[in-house]
Amino acid sequence: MQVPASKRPSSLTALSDELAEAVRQAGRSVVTVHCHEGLAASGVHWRRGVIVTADHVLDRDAAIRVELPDGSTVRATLAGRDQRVDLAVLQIRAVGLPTAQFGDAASLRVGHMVLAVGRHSERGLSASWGVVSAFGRGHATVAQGSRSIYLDLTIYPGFSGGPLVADGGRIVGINTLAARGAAHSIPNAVVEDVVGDLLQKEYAWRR
Amino acid sequence: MRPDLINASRPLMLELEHIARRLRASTVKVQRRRSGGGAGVIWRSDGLIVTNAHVAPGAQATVRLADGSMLTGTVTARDYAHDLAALWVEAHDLPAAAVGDSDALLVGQLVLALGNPRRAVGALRIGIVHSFGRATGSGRRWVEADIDLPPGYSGGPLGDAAGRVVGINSMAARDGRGFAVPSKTVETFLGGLPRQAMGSNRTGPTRLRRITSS
Repeated sequence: MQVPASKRPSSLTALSDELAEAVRQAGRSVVTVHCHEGLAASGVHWRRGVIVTADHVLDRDAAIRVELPDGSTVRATLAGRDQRVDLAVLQIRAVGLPTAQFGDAASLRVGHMVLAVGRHSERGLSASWGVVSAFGRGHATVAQGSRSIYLDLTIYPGFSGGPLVADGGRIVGINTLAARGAAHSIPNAVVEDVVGDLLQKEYAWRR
Repeated sequence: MRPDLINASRPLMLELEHIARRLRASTVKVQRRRSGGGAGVIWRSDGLIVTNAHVAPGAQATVRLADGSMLTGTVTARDYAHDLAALWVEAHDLPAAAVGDSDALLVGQLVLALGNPRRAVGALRIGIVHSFGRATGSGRRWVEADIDLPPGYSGGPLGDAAGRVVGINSMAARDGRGFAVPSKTVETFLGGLPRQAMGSNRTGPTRLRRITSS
């Protein structure tokens, strides 16, 4: 027996719908990255034709494929890898794929609600929910130069390389796993530096 | 505490409290003689309880209502493929759950689970919809939730942000996802049962029968 929604405005339903909308918005620029058999990760369309993903999911330089939200697959070339920060930059021909809408990672505080979004071949867009747990090196805010955002949420298999999403569905970082499997995110500004660096050099592989 | 934190969160807290109370009222504990057990959902006020097939593997199970009364539940149907079972208790005017549309769920929406972990009855957990599993021709196979479900939640409700039951919790994956049977699947299961299994040929007044004191 179906029961229609109450007409009374509901804060919990509003929050619920906002979370779903944030996932949908951010998800428009989230792709699946296939490197070799059985292992897939997520990636973000950072600039036109440029995909950012996690470095640790790439095992070989050859045959990287990127699966787009519409289900089509394109070949990707590896522009560079930065193992130290765990990021890799790929290039694709990105017809019609929206680029990421960025938020201000510097405005994040411990306790702020965030989402981690991933895209999986079979499951499609998926999400997990939690709060900002801490910033790297004991800094209270990202503005003070932290290079890591620690998260109280689950980074599911396939979520590495996907976005950290804050209010309005805006992307504030790239998620990966830190030491001992801790969920953490690399703030936008750090990702931007790495992308710029790796695209400038012909090929870079920094340890 | 900063005043704006209290102001923004107070309506949320009150709603959550209200929804949790309603869900608890329609959640039961389903116990097996030998060991363990799980939860169940009062699907109809005239005594129909839905739970997992693996929670009620025998012909009968003990059902503990939220008010503490204990009833004998008789299993009239079981579907192992979808991990569902229909149980009947002799009762009327039970607080039936409000049922929602699992097909209308979106990734990211809030979900609530109630269950009976060790030493607790009607314990609440909160999370969001993680995904829906592999797409099949016949609709969503599972509601996969980003929610931590320890033992004791099987057979219990997965509710949406309005407190409507959109799934029956079935199992937890190793990576922590909670899997629930979608409410649409439950309705298909119940709709396909022969009339006898739905108890429609039962007649006469029914009385709550206490078999143990709470």
